[in-house]
Amino acid sequence: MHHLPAVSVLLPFLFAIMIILFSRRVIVIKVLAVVGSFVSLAVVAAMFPALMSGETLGTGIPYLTFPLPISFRADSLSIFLALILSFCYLLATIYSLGYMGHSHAPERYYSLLVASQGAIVGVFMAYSLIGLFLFFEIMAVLSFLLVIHEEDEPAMFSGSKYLFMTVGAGLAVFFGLVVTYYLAGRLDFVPGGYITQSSPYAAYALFAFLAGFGLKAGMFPFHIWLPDAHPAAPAPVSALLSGCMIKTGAYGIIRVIHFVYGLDVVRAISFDRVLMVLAVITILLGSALAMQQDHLKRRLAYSSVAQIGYVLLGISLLTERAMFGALFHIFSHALMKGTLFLCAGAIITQTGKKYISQLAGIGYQMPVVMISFTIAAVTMVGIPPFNAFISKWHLAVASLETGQSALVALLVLSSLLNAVYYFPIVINAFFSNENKSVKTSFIRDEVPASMIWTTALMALLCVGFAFIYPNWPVIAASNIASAIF
Amino acid sequence: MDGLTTVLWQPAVSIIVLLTASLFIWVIGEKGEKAVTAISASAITAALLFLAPLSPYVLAGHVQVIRYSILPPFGLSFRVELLSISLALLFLFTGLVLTFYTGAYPLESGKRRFRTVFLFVLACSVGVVLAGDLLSLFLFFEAMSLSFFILVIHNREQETISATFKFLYMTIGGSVMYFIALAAVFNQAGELAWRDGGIMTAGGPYTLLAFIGFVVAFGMKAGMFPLHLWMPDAYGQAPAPAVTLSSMIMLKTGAYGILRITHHIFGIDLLRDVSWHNYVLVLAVISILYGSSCAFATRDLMRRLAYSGIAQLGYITLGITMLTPDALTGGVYHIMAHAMMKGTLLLCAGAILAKTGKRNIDDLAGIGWKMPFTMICFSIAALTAVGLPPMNIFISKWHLGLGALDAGQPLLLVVLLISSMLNAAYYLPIAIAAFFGERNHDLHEKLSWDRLPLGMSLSIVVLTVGCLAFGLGQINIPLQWARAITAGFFY
Repeated sequence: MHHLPAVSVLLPFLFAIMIILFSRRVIVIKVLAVVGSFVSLAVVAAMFPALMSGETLGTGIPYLTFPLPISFRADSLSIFLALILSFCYLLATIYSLGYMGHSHAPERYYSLLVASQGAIVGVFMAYSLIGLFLFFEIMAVLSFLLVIHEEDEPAMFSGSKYLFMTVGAGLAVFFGLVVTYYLAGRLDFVPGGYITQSSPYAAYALFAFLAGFGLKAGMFPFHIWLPDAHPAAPAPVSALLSGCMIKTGAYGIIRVIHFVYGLDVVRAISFDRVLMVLAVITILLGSALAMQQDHLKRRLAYSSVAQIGYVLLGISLLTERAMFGALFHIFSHALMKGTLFLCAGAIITQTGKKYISQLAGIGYQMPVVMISFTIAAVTMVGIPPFNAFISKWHLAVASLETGQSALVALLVLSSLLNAVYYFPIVINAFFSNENKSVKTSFIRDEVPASMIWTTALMALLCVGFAFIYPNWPVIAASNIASAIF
Repeated sequence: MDGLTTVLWQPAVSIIVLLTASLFIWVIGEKGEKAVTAISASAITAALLFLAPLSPYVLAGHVQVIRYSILPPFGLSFRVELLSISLALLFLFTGLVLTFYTGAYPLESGKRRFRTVFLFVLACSVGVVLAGDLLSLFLFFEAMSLSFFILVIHNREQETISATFKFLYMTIGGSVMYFIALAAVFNQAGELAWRDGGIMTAGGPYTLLAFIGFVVAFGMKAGMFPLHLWMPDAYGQAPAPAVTLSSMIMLKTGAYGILRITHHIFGIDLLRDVSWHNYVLVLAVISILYGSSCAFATRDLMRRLAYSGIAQLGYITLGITMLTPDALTGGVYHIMAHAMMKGTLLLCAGAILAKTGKRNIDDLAGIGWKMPFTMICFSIAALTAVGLPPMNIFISKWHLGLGALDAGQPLLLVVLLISSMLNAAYYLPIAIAAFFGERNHDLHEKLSWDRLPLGMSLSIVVLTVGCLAFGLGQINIPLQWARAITAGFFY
């Protein structure tokens, strides 16, 4: 049991190496990729009892030596996030079988995909800031290579933009790490934090972390890489970037302000205020820019900017309920934005259409995909019983509890904007009056089965958890939130 | 080992073995490449085997000064201590790696001359770090610098010759400054040997003169702004093995000299009193920013690497002149880290140059499909240079950063980060364009292996492993040594 965190990190890397070694036949590569992704998910899922009991797993065996050794450990926060994101990885890997069916360099694509799953689990399982940083950087390099997979001009440009901005983010985190180590002489995680003295150095470190992790998360004003990188990447990779990788930034901020620095320090330097202001700007800016986009994936990318703003807002309120909202929103956003990107990929595969204005009547050509899209879009708006309702509800209540009633108006406004930029796509897809000549009877989606069913499953899960008892994401998120405060 | 009572013979014998071997190469040189490589390699290995057993002795903190009554009036002396031995071992090891590379490198003519001088320079650089006083160091330093010009001028083209003369005149200028400084030190202190805490007792015009003299002499070797002018030209013109020798070994003797005079001639108490070290620190910061910016601007691969070397040596100088233990650990560790990183990059650049004749960065697009092995090693070294964990340079930057905070200078940490960013900006595009991009698409089919001579591939692999390996193990031996060296200076 206590070996599981280390195993869950190393296993995907092992599979990635195997994919490179046995890259002669494409079928072997695909099988290895899916099996590797599934086995890693299974290992993470095996830690489920610890998630519910709140136990911390880990052997304490140190690895590597650079300034401080790392040892893999997992508390419920790590397991919760690792579980959700590994699941998204598995679906995206299966989806890739269809989407990347005839793409060049399959061995490169699949090995990177599986390895990046290991890196992202490593971010959560390396139970110290230094280990987090290590896997953060590995993930950055791997996801860069995934973003540029198409190797055309836009992909190279936006990939390089992403790479250099992430390297900058890594250096900001490095700055924070050195200062933190200088202040405390340690970099592990302790609930409640261990730096309790506010000082200028602590402020430098915290804001450096904010810049570094915020960039990763796509927070204003560091969001500019995101709308370029998401559309340029292959669809499954966009789904993972948006659903999983940007969440590691939010995770880093949670770890820093609750497990390294004490809340007193955070309040003393008004870190929470700054984060809140930036989160509000991120939400509004993301929604406003999303409305203007005609390119479907760009619209989804800007929408991700807005949605990560919710998570950051939840973190910035510094209450248990808000933290619950933030954690649950990580979960619900991973599923719904994953679904939307997978739908966008399916549309491109079948019709080659990338712009929203071209999508009139597409619901009749691709019913399953567009129904999935609709479910995810409705979830996005936050209507009960869909997942995002729960997170938005708790965020709203938490705002009232902390006396920030203006934030409720913000949440309502943003939900409205969500509706404004998602519903027209859906309506246009099914009830278009432009091209009546197009068939108005449903035909079957003509994309590979692996794409349809992963998309449909993900869409189903956007709402499915409301009907399952016990609703474990709710229980887990509330356990974690109450453990943090 | 009962080294305290017996006089250690190893330093002198090691250098004599190396010098004899270089003479021997000159005598039999035209007989065959393989024999030359074998002789060089066995001489260097012998020196390694002589010096390596001394490491437990010096790690325990023992110091021994060995004095020979030759070279009147002061005599020749060696000093066996941790700093000297560890640098000597590093130089010998990298020299050994480089010997195999040079053996396989296609030099057009004058191989005998090149290989002889190559070994001679290596021997002198080992002498520099083992020397026990300022005068012995001067002797080896001069011999090293002056003979290095033979390696630079190797191609004998018009630009080569002007680059060499630039190097030569600057070196001689440095020597003159060293000589003046030597006289000033002797005038003030009456002796020239290293001593803990320094031999200069008071600040004053003569002391300042000595300080300036040493900084000019060593700073020039270390490529410190504004004395770096020889470097880009010499790097652009000299054959790759000579450039690598300079980067991995010769530049480090400059940094070593600054370290020595800081702690063993002037002493940190005196320097803190008069705060002259701050001038050097400012120059180091300028070197870092200037070197990185120039590297970013230039399109010639070798020149880019040269400018990057100016910046990297700035890190080491910065680590020395911050006068805090962590920073010194970082600086000393960076000597090793930079040798591995820049060695890999230069050897890869040399391999590209030898194989394709391309040196302009714009021409290197798609080179990764023709020389995948070389470019993979290049990419790893490039990532190391940016300071990604767990590679070497992360560790040195980490300690430099801690030292900067210790000195109350968080801005210096920001300088390091800006430079890292620039490193990313000028190395990573080379690696990216080598493998990816639309115009490389049709190259995927034509993937061919590098077909480098064994010696070249082997030496590139060894140095690449050196970039990666030390952060991965349970114990990081170079870091432990760097810490022990620092502990010897800050007691």
